[in-house]
Amino acid sequence: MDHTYIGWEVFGTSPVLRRVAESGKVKMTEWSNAALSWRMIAGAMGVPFIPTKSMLGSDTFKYSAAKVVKDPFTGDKVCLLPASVLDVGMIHVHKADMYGNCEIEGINGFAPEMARSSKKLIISCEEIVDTEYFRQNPDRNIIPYFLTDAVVLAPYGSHPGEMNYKYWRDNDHLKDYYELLGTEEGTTKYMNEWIHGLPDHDAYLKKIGTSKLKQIESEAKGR
Amino acid sequence: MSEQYNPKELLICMSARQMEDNKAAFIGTGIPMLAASLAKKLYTPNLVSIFEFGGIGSSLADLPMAVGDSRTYYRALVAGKISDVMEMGQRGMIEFGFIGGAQIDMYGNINSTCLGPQEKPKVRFPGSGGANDIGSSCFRTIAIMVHDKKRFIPKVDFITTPGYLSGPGAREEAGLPKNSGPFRVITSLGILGFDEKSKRMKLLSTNPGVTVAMVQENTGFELLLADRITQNEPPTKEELKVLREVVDPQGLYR
Repeated sequence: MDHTYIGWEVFGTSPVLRRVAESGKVKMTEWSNAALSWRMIAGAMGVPFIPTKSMLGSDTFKYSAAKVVKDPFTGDKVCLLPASVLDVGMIHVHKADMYGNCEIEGINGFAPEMARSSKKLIISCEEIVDTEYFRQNPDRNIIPYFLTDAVVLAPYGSHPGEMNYKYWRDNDHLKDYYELLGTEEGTTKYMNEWIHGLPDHDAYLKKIGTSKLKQIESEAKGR
Repeated sequence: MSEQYNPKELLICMSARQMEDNKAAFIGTGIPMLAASLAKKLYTPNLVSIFEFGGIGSSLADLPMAVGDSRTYYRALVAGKISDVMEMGQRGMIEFGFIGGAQIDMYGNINSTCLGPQEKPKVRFPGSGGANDIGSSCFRTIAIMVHDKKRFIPKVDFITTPGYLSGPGAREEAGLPKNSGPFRVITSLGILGFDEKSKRMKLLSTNPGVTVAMVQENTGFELLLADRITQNEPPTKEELKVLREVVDPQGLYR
């Protein structure tokens, strides 16, 4: 598993991934945040690797799949990150049209490079708009449609996480979720209650309830 | 009489005082966020906070809960992306970096990955995230840590973020940028720096009620001592009031 961070920040380490890592059954390949983004940039550029200064000298490097070489121009050591080409990428966006042109508002992490380095790209979105929206605002389109393979309409699809400017994170839900993930049984209970036990996304939203959705919307800081 | 405060509040206040105005600083998750928010309100209104997911120069009106949440770019200068801020860091445009960690050694190498062997760790932590990038690129990396013998040890189990590695010249030998590296370690017991020549950790000041001997007793390696070790002022009434009532009124991090 290529990863950079298996944490929930304010809550702590991801209990599920911690169990996986501590079992020794899955090889955890370490990367930095920048390294993962840059690996996708190399993939997006269609080049085999990208040189960086991050990761050098550390055990993060030792337990990655990067290499150190001499820069042929300066002779200095440089870290080479292998390009990352993803079989499938999944990105949730604010607006998409039926062809897969996409807009993300606010920061976008590594979504543009991920879209460009995925063999298959699945987009889920808060809202489907007419292509005319992008014709009028081409600067807002971060993913041209020909990169996209599927578009799924999924309002509140980021829940219990937040969606920039639209709704804030559902902290009550996240807290319960995190606690349940502390054990295998709890994890199964959560999965059954919130995923396997529900027929579709609409049922999920209904279960969360309108008042909670209204609340997280009101907690989002607008522009 | 000074106000009561808990160890976390002490760390936050000490860290806030280390922020510099008009400087760009990477702000890691947890205590660095609280310290930056407090500093922005009391000491460094022009601090340019940089969050690794792309937020540059947030007003920090509300306390972020994640380095990629919308509070990291509320009323900010830029809402960008990871590669953008990390590239600026790698180019040498971001002077300070504030990060946490589980273990540190005398050269400021930080572990936030695991205890025991990486292949089958006794305890697994989150891993690098942006920490390795920040510690590789910033001219002055500041670590914020609880100070005890389990955390301040001769050899960290895993170097997630490079400090001065094996000593003088090692960073340059590894290919890391010149003049970059650890600058301060802010701990529950005091503030430490690094000797210019030997690159070893050096005690600069102690927190209220803490003696030099206590710091050494709680450190698993021999500390260098500054010629004059000062005493840090306890958190002020104002710092505690702003921290509790304005920065984190819901007590998310208490």
